[in-house]
Amino acid sequence: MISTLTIIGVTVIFIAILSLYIRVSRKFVTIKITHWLLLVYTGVLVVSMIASPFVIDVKGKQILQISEDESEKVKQDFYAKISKGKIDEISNRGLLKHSSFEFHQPSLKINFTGIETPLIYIEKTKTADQRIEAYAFVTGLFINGVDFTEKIQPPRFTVSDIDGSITIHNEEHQTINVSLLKNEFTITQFLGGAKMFSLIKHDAPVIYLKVPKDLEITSETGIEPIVVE
Amino acid sequence: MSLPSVNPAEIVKKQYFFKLRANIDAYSSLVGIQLLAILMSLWGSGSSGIYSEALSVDVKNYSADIVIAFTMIWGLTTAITITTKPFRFHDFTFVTNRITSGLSNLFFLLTISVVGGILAMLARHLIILIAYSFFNQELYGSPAIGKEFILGMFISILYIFFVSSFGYLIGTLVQVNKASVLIIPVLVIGSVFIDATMQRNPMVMNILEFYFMESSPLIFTLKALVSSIILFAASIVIINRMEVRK
Repeated sequence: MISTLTIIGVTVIFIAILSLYIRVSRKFVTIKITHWLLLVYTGVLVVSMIASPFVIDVKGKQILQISEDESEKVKQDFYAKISKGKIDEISNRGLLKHSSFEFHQPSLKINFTGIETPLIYIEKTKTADQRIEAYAFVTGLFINGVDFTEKIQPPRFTVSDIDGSITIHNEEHQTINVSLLKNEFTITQFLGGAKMFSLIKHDAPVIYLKVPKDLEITSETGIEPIVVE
Repeated sequence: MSLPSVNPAEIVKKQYFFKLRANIDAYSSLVGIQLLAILMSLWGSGSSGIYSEALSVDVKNYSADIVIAFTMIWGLTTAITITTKPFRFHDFTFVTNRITSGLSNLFFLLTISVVGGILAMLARHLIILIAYSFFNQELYGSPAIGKEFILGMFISILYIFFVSSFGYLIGTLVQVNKASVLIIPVLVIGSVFIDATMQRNPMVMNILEFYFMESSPLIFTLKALVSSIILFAASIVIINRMEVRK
């Protein structure tokens, strides 16, 4: 509301100054190319000011920031909950993917593709009768306190009921490009937020598997699943 | 027979309006320098990232920092330019003295600082729009509109005005003694070397910190205005000692 009023106010002031300037200039001086250059340039800048908030709003890019302390708290809270099997209490923001598979084998071998070895939690439960529920969570991707979790590509799951295995397919390499609007030093000098470099916080996705209670688990070398009690 | 008396305020006003018209081309260079700065800002006014085997994150920051910095340089050069002989001789078209001339220059530089500061802050929106429209950048963050924007604009004006007053003093010193062209850089660079030799914080850094590290807008305003007035007063005092029309 304040921003809309500011935009309207600046536009009205600009039009008033422009018309006054042209009227006064014609009376006293010959309008030179410099006058037009300055007027056109100012006009373009004012139009840009009017348009820029809409550009950001239209794509839904105006997002809330959280402090560094808060992002650290989110992370700690996430690991505390997942290690106790309280995945229902984890915020939906952290859930990248959920897949469900039928599974009838007595044992399950866990494989993975990709570069990073995933952190895997396994919950053996009676409720998962002949099914495997696979979840991929992430603590988030925070850049200067802005949450970019949505940009992370979730891993894929494939389950083979024939050879009794689940494969977690991580991205080979993911590149995320982010453009941030930064306040000018004439603002950050007084209101803070001036950072030469962006603070980026990121953890690899965490896999959570809900499997039948009496299922035997084996895994590839390098994977050490944590069984949730 | 009585001599007609002149009102100094009226002379300053006449000279000020004359200078606004006579130095209109300064705005052409302002537009040019800001467009150049906008172009440079499109590469981002800073970038950082993390790189691992599995993930690369590239962060580009967009702001009008470069535009403000370039406008400050423009203010400095414009202030030096108006102290040169051809510009000073404009004043002799009027009944004048060094004080009225100096005061009209002060108001002229204040005016161009206001124009430069407003345009520099508005330029951030053009940077956003170009980055979005032509470079297909997804822009994150909230646009600085309202109090933040007004503060940024006001402080930019103060910075440009302060730098202009510094430029005006340099220009005046050079007009008084051409050797100042050499002496001033030697003094600045020499002080850095001396401070480095004596293993203490460079004086230039201390001066910059005095302004750039100030966190209160009110105190900063006082610092910038008082410093500018001192620099202008020093310039007027120095030039007042010069012969007429030298």
